[in-house]
Amino acid sequence: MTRDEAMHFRNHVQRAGDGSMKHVGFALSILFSMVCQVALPVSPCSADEPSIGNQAEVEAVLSRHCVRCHGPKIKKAELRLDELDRDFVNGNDAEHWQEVLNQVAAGEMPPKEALALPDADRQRLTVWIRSSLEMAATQRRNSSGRVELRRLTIDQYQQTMEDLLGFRLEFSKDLPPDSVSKDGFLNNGQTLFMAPSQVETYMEVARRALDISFDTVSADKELYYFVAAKAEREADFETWKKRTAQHEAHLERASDGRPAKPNPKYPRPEPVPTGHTRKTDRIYGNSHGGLLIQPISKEQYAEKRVANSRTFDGVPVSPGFRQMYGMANWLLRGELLVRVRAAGSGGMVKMTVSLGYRSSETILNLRPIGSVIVGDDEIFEFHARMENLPVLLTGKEKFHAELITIANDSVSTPLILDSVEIVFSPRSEATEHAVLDDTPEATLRKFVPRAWRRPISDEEIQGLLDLHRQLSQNEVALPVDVGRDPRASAALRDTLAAVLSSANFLYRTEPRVSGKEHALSDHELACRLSYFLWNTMPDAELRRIADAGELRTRLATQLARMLADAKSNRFLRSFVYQWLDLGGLDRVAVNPENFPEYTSELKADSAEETYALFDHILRQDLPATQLLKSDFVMLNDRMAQHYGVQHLTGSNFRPVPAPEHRGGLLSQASFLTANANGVDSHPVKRGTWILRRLLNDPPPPPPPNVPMLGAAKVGTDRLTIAQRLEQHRDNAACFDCHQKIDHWGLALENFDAIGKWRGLDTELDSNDIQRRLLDERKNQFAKAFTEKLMTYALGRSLDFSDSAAVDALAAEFVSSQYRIRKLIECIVLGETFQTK
Amino acid sequence: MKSLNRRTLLRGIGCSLALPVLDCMAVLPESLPRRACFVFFPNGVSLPPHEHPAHKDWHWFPFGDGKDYALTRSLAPLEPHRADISILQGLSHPRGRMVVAHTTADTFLTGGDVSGAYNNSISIDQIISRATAPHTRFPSLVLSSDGGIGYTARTGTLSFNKSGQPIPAEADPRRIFNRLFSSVEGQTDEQQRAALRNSGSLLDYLLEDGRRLQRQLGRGDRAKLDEYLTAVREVETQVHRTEAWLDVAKPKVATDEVNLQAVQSDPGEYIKTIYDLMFLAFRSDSTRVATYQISREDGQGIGDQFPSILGFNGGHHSLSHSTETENGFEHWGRYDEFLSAQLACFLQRLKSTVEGDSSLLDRTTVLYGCSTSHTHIARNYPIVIAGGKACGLKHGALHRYSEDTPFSNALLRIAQATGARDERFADSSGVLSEI
Repeated sequence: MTRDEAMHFRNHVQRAGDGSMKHVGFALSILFSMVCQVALPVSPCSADEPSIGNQAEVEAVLSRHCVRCHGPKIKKAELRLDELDRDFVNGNDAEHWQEVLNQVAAGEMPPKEALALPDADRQRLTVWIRSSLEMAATQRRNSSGRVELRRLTIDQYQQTMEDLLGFRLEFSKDLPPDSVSKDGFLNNGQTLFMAPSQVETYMEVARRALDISFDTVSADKELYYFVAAKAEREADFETWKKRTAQHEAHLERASDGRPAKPNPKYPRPEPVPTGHTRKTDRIYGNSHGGLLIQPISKEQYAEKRVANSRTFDGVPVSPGFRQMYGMANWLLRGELLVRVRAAGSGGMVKMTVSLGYRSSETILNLRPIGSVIVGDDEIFEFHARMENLPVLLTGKEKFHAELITIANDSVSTPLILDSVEIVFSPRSEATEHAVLDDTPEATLRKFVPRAWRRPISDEEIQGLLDLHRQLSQNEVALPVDVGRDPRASAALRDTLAAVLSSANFLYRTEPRVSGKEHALSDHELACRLSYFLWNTMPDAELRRIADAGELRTRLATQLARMLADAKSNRFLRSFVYQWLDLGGLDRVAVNPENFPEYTSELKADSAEETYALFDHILRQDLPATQLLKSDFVMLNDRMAQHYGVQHLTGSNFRPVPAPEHRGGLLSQASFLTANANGVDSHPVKRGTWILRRLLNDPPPPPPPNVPMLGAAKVGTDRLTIAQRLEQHRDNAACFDCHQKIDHWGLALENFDAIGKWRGLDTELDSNDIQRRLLDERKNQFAKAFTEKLMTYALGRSLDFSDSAAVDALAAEFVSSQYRIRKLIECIVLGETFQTK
Repeated sequence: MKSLNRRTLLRGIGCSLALPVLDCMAVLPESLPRRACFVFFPNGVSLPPHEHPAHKDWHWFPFGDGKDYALTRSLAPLEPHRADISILQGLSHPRGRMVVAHTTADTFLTGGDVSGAYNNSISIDQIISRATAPHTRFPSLVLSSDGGIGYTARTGTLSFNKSGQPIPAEADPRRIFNRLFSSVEGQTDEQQRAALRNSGSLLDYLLEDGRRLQRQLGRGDRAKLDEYLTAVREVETQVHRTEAWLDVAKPKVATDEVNLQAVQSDPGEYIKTIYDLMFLAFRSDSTRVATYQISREDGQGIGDQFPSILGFNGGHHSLSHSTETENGFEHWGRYDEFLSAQLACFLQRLKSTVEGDSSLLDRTTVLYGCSTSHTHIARNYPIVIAGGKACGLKHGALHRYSEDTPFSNALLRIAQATGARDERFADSSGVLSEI
């Protein structure tokens, strides 16, 4: 039961006790549900099982076996079975009955130490709950009180705007963060809310984005740079030698016994020449913050490209260092194309290209525009927009120069940088992204169906044309720009901004068409697929197939295509991030005094290791149980160093045989660090994570006002965390939950706060819990994983009406030997995903 | 005409229909503004037990009674302001006492009931804003170190609208400054007015379009879409407001009065900057209500890391859990002291600015506190109320309350002193009369 549910419970219990009227209502509803049940067709259980049974018998079982601990005297887990609403349809407790069913059916309740529940009674109880739930599920679906409307998440909004308009602005940077649902996901329709300031932001962003898309760049704004890294560096070194000589000559001239005053004409040069590779984000004074490069003509650029392509001759950039180039255009708008030709020196290197500027003497403002793994000599392309830079424009804050930096993010392997090309505002080809057409109506007819991800009616077009007419009466000017498309106007821009601020764009809508309330249209199905697997709008091909009404017949091939597309990485990263709560890494402040080796790069790579493991299992179609325990680990140079694995170079993650104590999520630094406290390991956090994330069996929240771990008498501070936990468990209020949580976490005590192996002698070790998970909890894991993936795929919390579907999917998942790909297929092809 | 300044008059000419300013001015006996400001920190305060060696120095609540109280080091920075502050002990929201304490930041200013299904309600600053908003360009200022809204039950904002929905907080000093004081570059008033008219038509369209969609949706979805429609309507109100204020130039504030480069990785400078921005917003009468959440409960967000950045052993939440470690209470207390020193600077700046025949502080009530006394106990809130003497507040003493007095009584006291005419707020049972 989640925290919210538990709180809900308490509330319910309080309300139920309010007055006698409530009890009358209660009794009536019990009566009502009994009447209904008599009329119900018998549940999925076979005929030789007892029928739904009479309420009195069920009540007798409840009071004999359950109410002692979940009743008026003691209410363990804040649950009172005597007061749970027996009306599954109109009451609020159906979800709680589902939980009761799970516990009883799994044999977890009643607990071993309590009076044993005879099989007949167990069956009586489970049959009653199960069939009542079935009935309620049918009713609930028909009354459609569920939220199917899903606002685009921040990520989805960003990706959708990019795909719709064809360029990458930081569209979502001013939006408030999305809320996390009780099951841990960000894409839950119920929790995705809308605030006034958000609507304002959507309107503002739409206008700004459309202004940009209306720009057609004219040739006179193009700038070309070609930097042959080695030649440029040598030339710069000559300049540096000259400057150093001048500076020193000046010092000599001034040395008449007094210290030399700095002469601005002969500034002290940097200890290393300007723009040469360096490690930190700091730069030295008196420079442009990077090797200053000059634009050349388009013709020269073309020539240099050809000439340079014949040989490969670069400068080495050591691990952790970066090469910086400065330009001095003071451009604030427009697209930037960066091509980098590089190779790894004897291994694969992660290369990150950033765009930035220098705002003051020493501060760089760098924004990564892309990272790639570089192996053999190759040319990599990056796109960026100047608008994304938070340029400070006034007074002394005016920036000095734009910077392009090429960083070697590996810890083991040098990068050889051959050349860098920079083209400012490359002419954009007419693409499917072009917004404008010859008339406003033609523009709308082309743009709106893409934006709203479905065909639109003439009435809708008419509504927008009316708006356009109204807006045309206001004389609003577009921002001044030379390269404006003549068909653009402020009225049209604001009409399109309305399209992009409309609920039809911001929400994924699945309206009900009378006669086929539950059937998804092809376009709605295309959206579900696309947001599930790509986190963005359907692409042209999906749209075409949906237009032709053929999506259902071609679903299997489309699914395969979508999973093979690189965009499916967005599914992978976003699902794994939310399911395993990798955000926890950012919530822990690792104490640098205890762990000086813990860097932001290590933090980022420990998350990458987790993505890499999931990716490998998904793409190689390995069993998902390898997440629990694998005989390989995904490592790169930095993580290998962290785990003490010798002789592994290169930034690319690759499978290597698992070293001792490693293999599977539970031995990964990401989980171990995020669920520690930055100083020491934290068995309760780790145990809770395993229950919540891997087994979908979250423990109830601690009751209010219990002493926290360690907040006991003075004199306990020398106890180990395990001993203090034991003491904690001695407290009756804590025992029930902690006996369930602690043993998982305690077995991982040999991993410290950043996931390093301590090498202590411990009673339990990680192998024990991995074995326990695989031996005893495999099916629970399969079901939990199914539930998590389905929750994510549907964008809503599951309820009891989904339990039959979940069970069937989990069974298929198990019989496929835990293939994630198969599970995705089953979910997509299943009824729940294909109906509303 | 002393009571009407030029700006107010200009506005009256421009929009006397849109905003009944002159009526309001006629009702108030004096025209100088009344303001309120609410500042929250999480996780409670260091309260070492009596026998503990740190008790004497690092017990947040002062010792003594009434006017005869002695501040410990936790609040020592407030000593110069004794005549302008009251310290309240023992208050809490009755409905928050039993819930998981970390959820109580959500209800600190609302007194809402989130013990069952999460249904929050309007916060006191938004109640006050109803009275003060007609006079200012911005109805209120909502700030936090993290920005946004956080998430349900671990809020990242103190302010909630009338439907109980969180109002996203601003965190970036430059954005806040620009919104308050920068003009739209390169546009004439007429152009801006036309642009606002466009927004008006656009919003009308969105409402109509949304309602059309709503008719085709199921019950749950219709309720969800209501959120959107409400939001659109509120933006519409804001557009009208902006239009009405168009003739009034934004106040001039020199950028060197505030450090707009401040970032959260330098907590002292950042918190000071946020206080400075509230100060400037008040001084220029851009708004009369502000909230600021210094950090979030339960170790969430960047604000929680302020102590670790400052060199303490761990984040704010973990400080509050480390009282058993060596000098645990003292470390926590030192961070309490750091935070109260920041508050003292803010009070000082308000105090040293003259307004009419008193100071800005005398017309600004500042509530500073937290909705847990110490870890996970949502009772006995640590509360400081400062300023507002010209609005009728009395200061100089430590007041102790029993649990019969709901914290809402204190909030209502401030609301009424700031001009709200509400007789009740949330579960208030009266108005705090001691301050």
